[in-house]
Amino acid sequence: MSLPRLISSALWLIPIALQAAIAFVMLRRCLFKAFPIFFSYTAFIVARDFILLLLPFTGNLYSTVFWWGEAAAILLSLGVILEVLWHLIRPYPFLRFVFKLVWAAAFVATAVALALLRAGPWSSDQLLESIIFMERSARVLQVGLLIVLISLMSRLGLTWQHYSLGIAAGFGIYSALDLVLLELRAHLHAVTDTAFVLMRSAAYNLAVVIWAFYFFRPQSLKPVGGLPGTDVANWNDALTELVNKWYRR
Amino acid sequence: MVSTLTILFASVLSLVLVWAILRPGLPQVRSLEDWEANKHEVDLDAFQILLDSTEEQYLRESLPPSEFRFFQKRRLALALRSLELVGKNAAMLMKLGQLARGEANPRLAKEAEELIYGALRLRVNLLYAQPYLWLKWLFPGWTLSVPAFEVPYEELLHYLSRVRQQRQWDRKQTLTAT
Repeated sequence: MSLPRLISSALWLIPIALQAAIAFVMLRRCLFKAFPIFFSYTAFIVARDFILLLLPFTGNLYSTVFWWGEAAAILLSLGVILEVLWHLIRPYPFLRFVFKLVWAAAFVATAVALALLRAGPWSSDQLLESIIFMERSARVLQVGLLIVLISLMSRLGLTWQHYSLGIAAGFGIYSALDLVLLELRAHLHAVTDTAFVLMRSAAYNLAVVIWAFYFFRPQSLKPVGGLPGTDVANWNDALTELVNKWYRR
Repeated sequence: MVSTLTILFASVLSLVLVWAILRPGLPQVRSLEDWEANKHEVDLDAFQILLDSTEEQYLRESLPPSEFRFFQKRRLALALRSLELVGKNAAMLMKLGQLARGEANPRLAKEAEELIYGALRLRVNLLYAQPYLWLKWLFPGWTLSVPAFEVPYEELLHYLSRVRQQRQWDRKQTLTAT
């Protein structure tokens, strides 16, 4: 077996094993109730890749399972990001309007992305180009959602929960790298097909390793014991007074 | 070309943001000891003096304009740094509050709820205070007030307060039921 083929096989098999283990850990810790879409995504990818493993690589069926599976995986991965956002915002009822705002922004971003990407040149391989085009649009949306999610969390100082952080970080890295690679392959034609496939798999492996790290490492549940005395109230009074002075209403 | 640049920019921004939340060295607050070790000491009185309008007026009248702008910028930079540290403290307190809220002790859970409310309110205050101070830093001679934007500030604080009351009521009902 040649080295590129060996690397390619390893990059394909490692995530199947790791994601199967993640699904198992989620089942054991009942985390599928907290993250049903991420669990579905993980189980779906494992099942799809396992089926692909059994199918002949050159057949039409292989291609059908792969591309339809890819479309479903992208939809699920978009759902995962909204699930993470909902999970993080749920404890703060007054922020739920933000969730609706993000939905609206997501639709606007998709429209803009479609308009922008539509202008790209089309090559002779129309079908592959259109699949890559759709994938690119979905990744743009995914990256946009992640940017909004992370900015919102850091701006408001909201608490990242253990698993949400892992899921968001994994998708953040994968979707950003995938988008760069799709751009290099489809628009700039700067990478070969072999390099594209290998680098894409490597990016996905990185995401799966991040998920595995967060799901295999149990969440620390050490009791806090007590809470500190703080001057938060004094700071709030001082800042409220200043803000009222500075802003006209 | 525009779409390529937009996409590459969004991808790099996404990677930078992920790095920012994952990078090692961020303080992990899981207990009172962690809080004591990582909290930032910020003096509220000193902060208020930095933004005191009488002090500002005195400096404006007693210093030449260029020197006034220089000192005012330094004062505002210090005030902004204080707010940044206060924001970090608030974020750590929210994390501690979240951890304590899940504990069995109802008194501790109630205190945690109060702490989260206070810290979140502080973060909302910072969302308003920081942009104003940045504007003042850019234009140190500026004394005007700016129109409020987004959700009206008082309304947001009122909403926060209502949510807290609702949560306290829910908690009381749960305790009574059990």
